[in-house]
Amino acid sequence: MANKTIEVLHERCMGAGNCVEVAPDFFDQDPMDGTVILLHPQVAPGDEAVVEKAANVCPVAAIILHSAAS
Amino acid sequence: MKTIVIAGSSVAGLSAARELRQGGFGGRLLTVDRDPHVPYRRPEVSKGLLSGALPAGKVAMGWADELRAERISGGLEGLDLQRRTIRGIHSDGRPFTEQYDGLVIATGTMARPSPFAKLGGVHSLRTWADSHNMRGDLAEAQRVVIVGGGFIGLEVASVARKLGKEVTVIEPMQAPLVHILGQTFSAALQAKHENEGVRFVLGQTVRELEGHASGLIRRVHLSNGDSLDADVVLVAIGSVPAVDWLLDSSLDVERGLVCDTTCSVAGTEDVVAAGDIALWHNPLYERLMRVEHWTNAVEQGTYAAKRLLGTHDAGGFVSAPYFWSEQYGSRIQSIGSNLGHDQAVVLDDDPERLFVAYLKEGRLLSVAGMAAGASIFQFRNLVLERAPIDDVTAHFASLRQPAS
Amino acid sequence: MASTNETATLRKFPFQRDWPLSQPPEMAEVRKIEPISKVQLWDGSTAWLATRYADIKQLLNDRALSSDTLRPGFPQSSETAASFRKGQRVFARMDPPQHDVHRLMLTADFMIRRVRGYRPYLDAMIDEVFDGMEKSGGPVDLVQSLALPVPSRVITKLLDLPPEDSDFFLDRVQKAMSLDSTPEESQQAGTDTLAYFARVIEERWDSDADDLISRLVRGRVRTGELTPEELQHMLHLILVGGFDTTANMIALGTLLFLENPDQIKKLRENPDLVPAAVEELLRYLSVAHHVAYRQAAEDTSIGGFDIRAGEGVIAPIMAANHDPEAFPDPEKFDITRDARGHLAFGYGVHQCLGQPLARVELQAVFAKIFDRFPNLRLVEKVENLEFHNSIIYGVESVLVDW
Repeated sequence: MANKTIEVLHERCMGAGNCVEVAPDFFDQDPMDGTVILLHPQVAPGDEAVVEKAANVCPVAAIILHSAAS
Repeated sequence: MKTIVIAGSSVAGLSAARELRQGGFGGRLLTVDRDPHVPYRRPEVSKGLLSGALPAGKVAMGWADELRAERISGGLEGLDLQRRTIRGIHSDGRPFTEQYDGLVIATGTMARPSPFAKLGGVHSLRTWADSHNMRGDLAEAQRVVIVGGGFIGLEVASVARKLGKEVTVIEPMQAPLVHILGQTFSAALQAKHENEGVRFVLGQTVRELEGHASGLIRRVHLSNGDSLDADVVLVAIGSVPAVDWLLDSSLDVERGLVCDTTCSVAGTEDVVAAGDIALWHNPLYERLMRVEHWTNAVEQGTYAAKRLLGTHDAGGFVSAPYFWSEQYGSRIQSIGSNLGHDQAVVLDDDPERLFVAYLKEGRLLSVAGMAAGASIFQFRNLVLERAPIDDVTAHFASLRQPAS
Repeated sequence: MASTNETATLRKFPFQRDWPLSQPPEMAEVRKIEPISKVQLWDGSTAWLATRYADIKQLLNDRALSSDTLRPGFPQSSETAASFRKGQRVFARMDPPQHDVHRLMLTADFMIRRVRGYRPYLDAMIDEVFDGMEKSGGPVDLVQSLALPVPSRVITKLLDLPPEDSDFFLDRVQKAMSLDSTPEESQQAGTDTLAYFARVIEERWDSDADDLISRLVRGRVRTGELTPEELQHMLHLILVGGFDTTANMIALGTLLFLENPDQIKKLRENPDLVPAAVEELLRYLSVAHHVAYRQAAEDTSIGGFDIRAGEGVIAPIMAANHDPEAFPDPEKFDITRDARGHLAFGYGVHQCLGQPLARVELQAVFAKIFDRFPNLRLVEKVENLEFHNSIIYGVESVLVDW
């Protein structure tokens, strides 16, 4: 089964960094303004839970986890 | 069973949960509903909640902590019978998938969507929120137009008249509720409303709703070309079973969720249905029927839970559904379903105490009464027995006679 | 008119806390019976109150809701809060897009990576504070000895201000935010602080130093992107946002642990639990209990209820954090639960800018305090403690011994 992929809505990002706190392997912050840098768009099944958590704690709902089909 | 999922947290779901715990189910119980306020006394949506007569505390019901139910607030999107999973979206947008060993489907019905333009001041009624939203508009309105002379339409007509509004009810049939209550009852109800100042437009449908430039409702245009000015419009044109989430599931959901006599969903194992959505084979009338009334939801929820646990009555869910409506402070009640009746016997023709028995081939199908009070329950056994007319008239006579 | 009848039966908001450390009982009741309802505020106006986690999250992320307190009819929790907030001209009270432009000028300074760099400084500072406590011997007031000094020193370091000015800040912030202050007192306290920052901005006008204020003066004010007044308000917000919030978390957090010694034991046995413990403290205490007030700029809806433009909306973080649907058994303080996803820092575009800094301070304190003082105990009864009647919940003093 193909991996899920992460989409980040960059224009919404407020630089809170909650995603980095929860899933530092997938997200970092741009040193210029603290907004999100997506490190790895592909998510192996074992990592889905932590990326879902990151999506959940993002205060502006800027992280979307797409299933392989879409 | 380790996990039972209850789809729909209103009274059918709640009753099922209670029966499951009482029947000894100790596993995980998970419920899903999109309405933040369920469960509540839904009949009040068109009565005390709308009029403001009942405070929130008297309308709300609770899921007792002892039921140990995990509650998901969100909408359902699909059912996978092979994998035994339901999937949906939490109200905060996160998707979820849950595995079940047993499933109770109790997602009920929704108001039939209005086919008209979306305008401010145009409402449909199903949920607490709908009632609250309409109540706000009603307060400032003068002219209320109700599309649909069914029970919801008539109840709201009575609430609006009590608030001093100008009320018009538009009904496509020649009389309101005639196909449910028959000529005599229908005529009595219409007269009651007209005495209270409600205007009926019968044999007409609504062609379109016209709004002001602001987007607020302005006028209702009828099929015959007439039009009515309106400040608030209620679109009460019936309800549809909430089966959208089941459309990809291979289940027969065209007119509701088809079940056998024991409320087990046809074509499944360990899936039962209860309440407004369940189109089950009622052994009493030997046909499929769907009942959209409160008491049925409670009783059927309880039965469906027993079915899951295997403690149900093997004879099936035999039901003479009870129904009531409140209009102008007076109660109309019925027990049983009169669909297919070929005879309507008026046992009391006083319009304030009207009592009618509906029969088919000489045997009782149902009774309906105005202001009958608790005495209507005396007829329940006769309905369950499909009693012959003589027994019915005899019983009625004995009730109305003073004790000697 | 129906509306007069309506206000007669509406609940008054805010609800009162009963036991000082848990949510108001009325909140749980309302969430059960009428999770979305209208309430009446201090001035007789009405506003929507959401009490479920899911609905609060949705509302705080709803772009139809404005944070601009200058709008007529903007709901407030009290007269003092109204006065305090109307005096603020800062991104916390602005809506996008202007909000975003201003906030993003500060986000780099509060990035996780950057803020974690303060840990060694914090560790050394906290050790010093504890040394001081041991030296003076108990009983000490934890609020004065630990809870206030830690965040105050961090802010003065962050803004590169003279440490001896922290008493001034403390006094002014407390006066500005206390619900026992008159609106005039609150306003004066705010004005004093703004005047202070005006002087600092002037002093650093030509500076090429690397501290936050100098950089903003150089990079934003002198370029015309920010007025000096806007920078004053930003600095005031940083002060207000990071001072008694963190101080109260330290004081109340210690108190909560002392009331739950089994949790102290768990923490000491497993230091890896420190981050989780801090999240649970944040969730449980929800000290920012009078925030998350909004006004609908456009029509919107929640849970099927229509919200009209102009109506007030209250989405309390305390209610979200104690919703049993989001956090089972919410009145249980349990550092082993996963409390991430709590809304103690709010949600939406206005979510607390300083949260990484708050976390690193709290983690530094709670990693050490019970190891350093294993026999820490309250000298008085919890019932006798005086809790702040303030925009940020807190406690006046906490006398401890060890």
